[in-house]
Amino acid sequence: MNRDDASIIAGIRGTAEERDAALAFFFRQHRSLRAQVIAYVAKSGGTEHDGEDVFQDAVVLFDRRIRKGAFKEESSLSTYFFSIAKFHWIGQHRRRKIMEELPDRRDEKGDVGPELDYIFEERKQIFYSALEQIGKKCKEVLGFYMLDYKMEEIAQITGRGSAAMAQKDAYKCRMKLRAYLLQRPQLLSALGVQLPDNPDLLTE
Amino acid sequence: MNNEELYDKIEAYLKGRLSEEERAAVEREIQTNPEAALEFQLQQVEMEAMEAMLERDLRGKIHQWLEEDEPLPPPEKDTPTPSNTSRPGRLWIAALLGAVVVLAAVAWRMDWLGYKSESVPTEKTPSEKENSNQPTPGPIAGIDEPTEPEKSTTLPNPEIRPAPQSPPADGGMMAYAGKLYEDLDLDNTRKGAPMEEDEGPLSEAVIAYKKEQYHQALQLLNAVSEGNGYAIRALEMKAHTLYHLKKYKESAAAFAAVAATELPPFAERAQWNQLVCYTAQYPATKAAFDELLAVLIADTGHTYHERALELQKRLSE
Repeated sequence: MNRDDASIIAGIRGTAEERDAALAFFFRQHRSLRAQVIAYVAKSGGTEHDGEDVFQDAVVLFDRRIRKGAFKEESSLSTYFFSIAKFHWIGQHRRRKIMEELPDRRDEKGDVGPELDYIFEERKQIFYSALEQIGKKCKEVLGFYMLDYKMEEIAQITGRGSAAMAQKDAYKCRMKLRAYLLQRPQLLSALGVQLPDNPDLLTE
Repeated sequence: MNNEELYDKIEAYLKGRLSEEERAAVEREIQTNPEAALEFQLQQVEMEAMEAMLERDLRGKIHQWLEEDEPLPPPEKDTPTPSNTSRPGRLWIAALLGAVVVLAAVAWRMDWLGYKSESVPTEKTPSEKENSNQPTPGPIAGIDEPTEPEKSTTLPNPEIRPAPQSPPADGGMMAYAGKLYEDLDLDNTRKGAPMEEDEGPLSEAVIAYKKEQYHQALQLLNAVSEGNGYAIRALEMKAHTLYHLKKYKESAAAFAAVAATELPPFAERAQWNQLVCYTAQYPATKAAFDELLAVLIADTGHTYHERALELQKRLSE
């Protein structure tokens, strides 16, 4: 792995600013990646529009996998990115084909890609609506939490007195998010959460 | 595995921080314990929501990165691949950001806190943090509270109450807890019920509660649905009813749920009574007691801060 890649990985796993800077650097350094992904998708049964979507999804997956330590550093980052995009498209394309070939779908016009997209989009909309309820500060704290900031760092950035206070904030912000969802069991059902038979479990 | 351990274990599981053996233990717990199964699902959803937030932010930036032509300096090349334990080379960013946010936060808090002091709360050591349980739900000071929380005029003023007597030396804490307990403000609860629902379960529960018919009150309160306008009051009353029935564990959980609503004036009073419940079960609940007591002591703006300090002093005696 070259030094640029090592620095990019460090940046993506770093602060919010470092992550942005590292991703921006990576995609500007590899401007052709987007065109390569779009060309690959177009060649493999998709459209240019599909290719654009796949590229953007791949950016999200790339960032997430690096943050979670899934990148094993066995290739360059650009190769890794392209393989994420490629397999993402293969999976998406396969699902579409399967859905198209289901007997009860044969009479329907068009493919079911948009339908699946709608389900995922609906899921995201539920999350966005829940996140809107917890407020800007909480979103900021939870963003740091997801980026694996240490509590000391969150405390420093958010102006809280100590790591313990920041930890308390992060927990309460999560509980705010949870409370919003628990008060709306229909949303939890829509998200696939199996609600318990004993309703007391929802309050204890 | 208690609730706090369960929460921590599932969080670590979802963050991929457990050994294979620990993962297997969590999976067994999820399969056999409905509470664990629910906690797991809720944490999964929460993490997905948080990832969705990062994703939306990221998608908003992609085009910007691709379209901007200005040259970018490469990332710090001397920065080693970071671990989760050190982040060299970015302290200055944190410091700068911290300064800006602290200034903004101070200005903002000055606006709504008014006279309240900004003293730094007691900080745990890193090892204490690692070993500590999750903080108990309660109001978030400095988080999304743009206006000063409304204080109920019916709230007891903890500063003018007599100091609690020292706990009994024999460890029988139930009676001592009774001295600390803040009973329900029934008049206020009654006022909270909408007129058209005056004959509903809450009103009947109030009557039963006043007559000290706590089993009946509990039955009536269990019939109050979550969606109505006085569900929080009903939950608070349920917590008190459970307390009178000496079901301290359940009572503490109900008070915790009230505290989690962060609604003044319920939340802080509920936190105090949750502590009282832990006191009644002391020393079995020592860990939870210590944790919550620390929260109240650290929160200098908490209505029961002074009483928490007093309690700590008495316990140390």
